[in-house]
Amino acid sequence: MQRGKRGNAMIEVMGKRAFLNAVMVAVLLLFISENAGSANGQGGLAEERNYNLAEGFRSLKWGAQLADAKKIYPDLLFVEQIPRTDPKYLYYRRKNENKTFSGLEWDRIMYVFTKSKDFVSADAETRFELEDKDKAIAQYNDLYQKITAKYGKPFHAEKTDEKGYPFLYSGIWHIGSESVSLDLGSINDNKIYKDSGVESEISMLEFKLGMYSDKGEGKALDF
Amino acid sequence: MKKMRAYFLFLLPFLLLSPIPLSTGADVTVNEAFGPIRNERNLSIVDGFAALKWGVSVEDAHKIYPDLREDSSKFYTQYYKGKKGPDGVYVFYVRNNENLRVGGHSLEPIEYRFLQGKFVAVGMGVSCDEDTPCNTEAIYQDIVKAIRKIYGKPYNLASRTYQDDATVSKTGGIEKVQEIEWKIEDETITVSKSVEPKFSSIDIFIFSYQGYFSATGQER
Repeated sequence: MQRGKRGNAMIEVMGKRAFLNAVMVAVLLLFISENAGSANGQGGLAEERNYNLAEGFRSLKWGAQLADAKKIYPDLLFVEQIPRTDPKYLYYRRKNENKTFSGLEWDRIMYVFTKSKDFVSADAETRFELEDKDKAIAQYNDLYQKITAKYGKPFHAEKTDEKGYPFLYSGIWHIGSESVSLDLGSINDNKIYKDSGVESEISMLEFKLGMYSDKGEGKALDF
Repeated sequence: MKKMRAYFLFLLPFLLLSPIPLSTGADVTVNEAFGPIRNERNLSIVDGFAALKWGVSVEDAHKIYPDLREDSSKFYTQYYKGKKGPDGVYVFYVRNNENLRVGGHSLEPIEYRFLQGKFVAVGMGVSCDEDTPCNTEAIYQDIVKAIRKIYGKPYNLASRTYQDDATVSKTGGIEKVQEIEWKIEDETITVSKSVEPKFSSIDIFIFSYQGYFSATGQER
């Protein structure tokens, strides 16, 4: 009888364990399938070409026509044109973008096409609140060092502060027909309107990485 | 019990990483800004507001909300009604008996804004004056805190202080405006607080570029 009770208890425990295992496996499968789904939604992250700087950005070649880019990234969406009237550049984003690039998580990644719809530039951007100034500076310095290690000293670099915040930290590298620019700057959007004029103060910080190719502008073909 | 806890701790990261839809609730009482409310009538902000998808036509919106009627507020009548802007004509609609609470505060009425007959934006707010006094700063902070909780870091922070003679003679003193904006895909949420000596207001404005492109017929 004692053994029988223990046996029933064991079966009960084993049943509970089997149930918990089944729940765990189900959750794992659900998690895996959802992620696989989102990867497919990104146009196949696993199939990302990841061109080098001389060739393009991610799976898009510099100079690629917008129509061809949309075949590669069907989730490419128009965002804005700059300037708004008589635009020179058209900005696009991907609906399912992988926003991790160069080891950093960016707020936005934009694909820039010329007026004639040639892929010319890719921009990554993140904004920081003023209380995160140190984090922003650390990220700028870290990426600056990484780019310098890969492409050498920048063509131009500067660091200007204003009221204890980065006003303009900037570096630009020219590598053949491509350029890389790194900027950390202030956004002055706190304004005081007086009869004598307008005063402005820093509201946020903007961190930007830009990759540009002359090939997109057709310039690299001119000798 | 220990094993249960171990299983729970093992599963926790997966549960936290699973996508949870964030929704907006306009026809249900919500205590937190924009959900999450698991209600089929509440769309995620990147899809729409309440049950209306961005870009939906007025006709289809009426099928979903038969009580949708054109706004008769002074603000709409004075500044928008029948006026053609650079992108076309805006028409504001409101519904009866809506109850939306953001950060613990009631915001009404909810204006469903249509551009060229397509749903593109939502406006709502709170006004305070001598007859209806309230703590504008506290309300603003509660709303901002509630939205931050869902959407995190904002895209832009801004302030405007108008202390020019024209403002002082018009309002009886300095006017201070504070704004905070979030960008979520094609949608922006802007919360603004305006304080004058005798009047103050807090407005939430949600704008969808998805709806805008649909309204202006611009190919994406």
